[in-house]
Amino acid sequence: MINLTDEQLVGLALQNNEEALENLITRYFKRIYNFVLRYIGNQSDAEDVTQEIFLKVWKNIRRFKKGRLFKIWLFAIAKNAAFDFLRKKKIITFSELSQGQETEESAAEQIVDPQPLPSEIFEKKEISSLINRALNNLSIKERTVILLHYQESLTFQEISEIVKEPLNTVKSRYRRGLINLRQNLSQNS
Amino acid sequence: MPDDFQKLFSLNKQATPPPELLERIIANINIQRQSRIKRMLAIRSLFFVFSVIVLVIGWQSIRADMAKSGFAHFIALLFSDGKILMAYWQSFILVLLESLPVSGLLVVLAAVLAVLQSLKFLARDFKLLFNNHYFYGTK
Repeated sequence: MINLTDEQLVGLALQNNEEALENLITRYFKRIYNFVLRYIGNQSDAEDVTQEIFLKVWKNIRRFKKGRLFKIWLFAIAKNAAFDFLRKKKIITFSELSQGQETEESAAEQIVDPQPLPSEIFEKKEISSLINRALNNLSIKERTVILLHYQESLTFQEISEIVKEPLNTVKSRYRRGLINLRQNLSQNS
Repeated sequence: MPDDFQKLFSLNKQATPPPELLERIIANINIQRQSRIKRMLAIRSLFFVFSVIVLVIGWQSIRADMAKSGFAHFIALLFSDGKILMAYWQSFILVLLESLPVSGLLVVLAAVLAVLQSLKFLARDFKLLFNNHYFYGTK
């Protein structure tokens, strides 16, 4: 089962093969936990949300459409679960999630590519906590794009499918996110 | 520029989730799965019982209808006066068809199909429940 693709495992799971589902969960468990932890910040809540995500995966696996990539479907569930948690805790508001995309698309071309990072940042001992502090100061949407692109190595097209927004919006958010991240890193260091 | 960020994120350590979390997730899914199977088992058992009741009532009703319409009597003639009936086979068939309790037969047929279908699903649910219990044990 280790050599099967995600989609092959999903096919087996749909035939009530429990081992296949367990393999899928094990495969993505650490990545989803880390993805959620970057939003939520505390381990206990991240554990609960991670559990909730995989339960949703099991409940909705029959709705998984053939031809889609499993990881995109999974990260869409993870993103929604993390956002729902933050909304319930009132850490983010509904308005932060429903910003108009027209402004972003029109501004996309005006955003200059970010400058290189100062080299001293890479020499910091506590670089992980520095990165996480800087990420926490980004907007939730910028953080999502940056994390999915750099931590999960997803393409902008894949991210666009996960967040259900146009490709240009995702790209402009990415560029703006990098600029803000650079500023945050410079300030925090 | 973005390469710097690639390098930056490669230095960002991934947190290690607690080892028991994965077991908890799988155990939780297993509990939910067993609940779902038991729920379906209960619903399908009720449906099976209901379809058996309909089958029994339908069958008794057909027997009564057949006796009333004389269908059973006409069938019996096949064995007693077979040769005469062969001479008038077309009329005999018409009489049989007229006396056939069609609606009752349809009900019984539908009930038989429902019984067979619910037995098939019950067998599948029992198999899933047994496999689930055997695979995960009593957690």
